[in-house]
Amino acid sequence: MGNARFDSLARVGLASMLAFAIVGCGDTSSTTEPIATGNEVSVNPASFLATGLASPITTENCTLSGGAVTSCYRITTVGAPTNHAVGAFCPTNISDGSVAGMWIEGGKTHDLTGAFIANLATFYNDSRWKLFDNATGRIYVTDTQAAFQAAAQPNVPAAYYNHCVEGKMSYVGGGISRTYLIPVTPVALTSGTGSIGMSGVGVALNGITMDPPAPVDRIKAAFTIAAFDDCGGHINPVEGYHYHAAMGCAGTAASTDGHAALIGYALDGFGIYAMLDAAGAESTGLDNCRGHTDGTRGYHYHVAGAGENMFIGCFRGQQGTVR
Amino acid sequence: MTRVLRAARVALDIVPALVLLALGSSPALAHEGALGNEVMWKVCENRKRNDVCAFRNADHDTSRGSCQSVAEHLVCVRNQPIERAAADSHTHAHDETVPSSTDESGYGWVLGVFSLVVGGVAVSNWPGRSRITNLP
Repeated sequence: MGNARFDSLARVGLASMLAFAIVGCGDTSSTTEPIATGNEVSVNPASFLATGLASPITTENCTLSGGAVTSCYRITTVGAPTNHAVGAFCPTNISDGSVAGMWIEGGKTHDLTGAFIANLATFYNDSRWKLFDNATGRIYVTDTQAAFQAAAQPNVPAAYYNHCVEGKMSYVGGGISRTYLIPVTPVALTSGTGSIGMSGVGVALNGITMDPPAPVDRIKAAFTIAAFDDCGGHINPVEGYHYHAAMGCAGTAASTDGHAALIGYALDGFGIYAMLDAAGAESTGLDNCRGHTDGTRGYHYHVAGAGENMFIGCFRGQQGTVR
Repeated sequence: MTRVLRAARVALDIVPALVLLALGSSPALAHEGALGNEVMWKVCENRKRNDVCAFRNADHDTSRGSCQSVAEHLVCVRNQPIERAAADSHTHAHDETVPSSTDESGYGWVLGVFSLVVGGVAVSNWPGRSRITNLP
């Protein structure tokens, strides 16, 4: 009797402990171990395309987001890509069979053609999507600076509902220069990760800002398509031209060991690399921020796919600034 | 010696329960998500940072990662290679048109506890148990 009771209690107790161990830790939350000391590889300023810089990169003292006082590179960009054209963005007529820009939806990139615009009500299963004139097939595009500035703000006026939104570089003075202070050598966070805020993710090697995604429901509330060009970029009145997806236009510094190419630097100074290596494979063992460490590059990030409308998930180092 | 055997017997008894428990806490595909990239955001609603998440895209490819704060909202950030639908075709028979979201952290524990209870009952009536309990 005593043994039976012991058996029952032992069984329940052991099973309960294991249950909590498995369920409690069972992939419901993911933690990130601190980056080991010595894996902070310095930024290489020579990686940047000189034509994308408004002035040579200099060094100055700076204070990072976590309070560390260190040396930073001052990187001032011209705000316009010099290694590729900007646009096209929106098709002009639903009969237009050529590809203008692209749209990101459903985890995929979609060619923006007239047919795609004509099919939006079906695509979104919502008859309120109608970006074209029935009689002529003309697509409603923000074709003036006033229309662009109105439609590109968060609260879109009703007059600009159902528009394909595109800007021109001339609307933003040919490009909006930005100045980044990025630590010469990253300062890793001792615990946790840093959130990606409105300051963005980092800067591409051609000097273009790499921005985070925005919640899609906001974007679509006014039935507008904020069209991207084939480089995953578009223009807004505040930042000018910027990227939301890595499409191979950012300027690259190829790796010699088959590793993915460097395409930019995050605000914390860690390198941002392409998603795929030379063999077309994606890295495994990425942490919550989409980063990992190797013996050559130290800690570094890999971007997500273009269809994910995202570069990296968070920061592992103290961030510099951008203005 | 008796205690060692008894401990071994207890360990053997709970194996089926643990198997059921593991099945219960596995990342079953739970509910349909919204069309589009919205699923990346919706799957992290009512979650907290670093909670595990997963979602499917329009092609039913599965992405797994964790919820991270991006632009002041939580979004599912993939950190594992995409699981292509072609390599996992058995999971997509229920719907071929609408992307799904996967909730790995919501109710798996309920199913796990349920499995534990069922497993406990099962092992109490496990035919092999009588042979084991006849050990000295």
